[in-house]
Amino acid sequence: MKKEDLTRFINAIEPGDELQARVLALPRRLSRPRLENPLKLAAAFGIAGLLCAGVVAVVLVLQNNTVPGGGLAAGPGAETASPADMQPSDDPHQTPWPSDDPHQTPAYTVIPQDSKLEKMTLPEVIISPDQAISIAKKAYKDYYGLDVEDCLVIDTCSYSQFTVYGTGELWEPLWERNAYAGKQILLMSVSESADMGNFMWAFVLQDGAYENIPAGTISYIVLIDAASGEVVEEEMGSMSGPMLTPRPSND
Amino acid sequence: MEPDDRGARISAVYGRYGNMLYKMSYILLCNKSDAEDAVQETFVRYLKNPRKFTGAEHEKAWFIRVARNVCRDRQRFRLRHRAIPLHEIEQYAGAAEDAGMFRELLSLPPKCKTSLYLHYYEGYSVREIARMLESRESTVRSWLTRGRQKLRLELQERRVIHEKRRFDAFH
Repeated sequence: MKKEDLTRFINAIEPGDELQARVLALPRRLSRPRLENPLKLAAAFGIAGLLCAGVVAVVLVLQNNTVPGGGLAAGPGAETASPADMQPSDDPHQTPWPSDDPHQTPAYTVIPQDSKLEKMTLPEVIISPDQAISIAKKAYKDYYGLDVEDCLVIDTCSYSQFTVYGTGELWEPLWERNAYAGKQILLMSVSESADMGNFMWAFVLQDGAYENIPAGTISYIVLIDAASGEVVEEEMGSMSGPMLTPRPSND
Repeated sequence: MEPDDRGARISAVYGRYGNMLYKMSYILLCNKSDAEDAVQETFVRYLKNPRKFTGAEHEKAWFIRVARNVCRDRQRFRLRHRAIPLHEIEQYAGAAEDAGMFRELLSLPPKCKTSLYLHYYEGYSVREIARMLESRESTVRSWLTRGRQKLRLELQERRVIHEKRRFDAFH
């Protein structure tokens, strides 16, 4: 390849007019009044809001009230415990978690032991994966009035491959076998926000079908501050761009 | 920042960096939709966290770094390796025989692609790239070397300089 070829290829990559329109509309969209709700409403963060390094684990409580990985569980309608009330699980697949004392900041492994991930020690992350999953589950229910059902939690922190949270099973072979058609999947990750400097758990709930998610497919996205457990952003988005639809009415 | 101010500012900033950010995002993410989302997200961050820049280069470097981070996070989010859309390759590559080379470029590891783009297209030095991407210069050089090797990129600028010297020597 000649350098001229490289330049020629890059020169040819041009955005369409619609991108400019989307960007120029951002000030207006970001200035929309927030809905009165204890949880902050995401504003103009698309899927890329998951920039917080990964997708947050979505807590999908199965009908039998168990959470993949043997972690904390909450049945439909159950009040989600606050982070301070939650205790580490005894499940061998579950990474031991420090106490809930926010002043105690030992180094610990954030990613579950069976994750195919590079181990990280992030003392800034206080909220455990299961705690974050529970918070996200409650946020989803508050947002839609629905419990999450038939979901699989996928640990997406790995740079190379994703695994089923709790079991460590590789995700891709399951997905390629269309094992979760008709069901939903919860994508989970945690990382430092690129420019906000804090750590967040990120969750996306979406269709589990094998084929590429069609453009416009709706998914629920929620970001949770990894130190406080506060829901920082939530949004109903699409795989090909954000959809800033209003929060569903509970009327 | 008042909404009207933000509108004027975002319009000016998009005019300066929009194309560049899209090019870089497309090279990293290999498809139009993701690249558009990444560019939008970059500008969202700009609006949500306004900051003062020491100059135009500082501002540009900030946008490049944030866009790179946005793209990196989106790559993590992917459930599987996304195939590079053929119709998009042909659209950008132009001639059919170029499609293969363009696909090679897009198939490079993200760090190689970013370094190649910033060095050969945007004209940044190794030192500037290292500072922008918060890496060591030796690391950036190895990315560039690897990228060149994979693309078998001919360093045409060196050949031109060498031939010019030979020409000058004879005349």
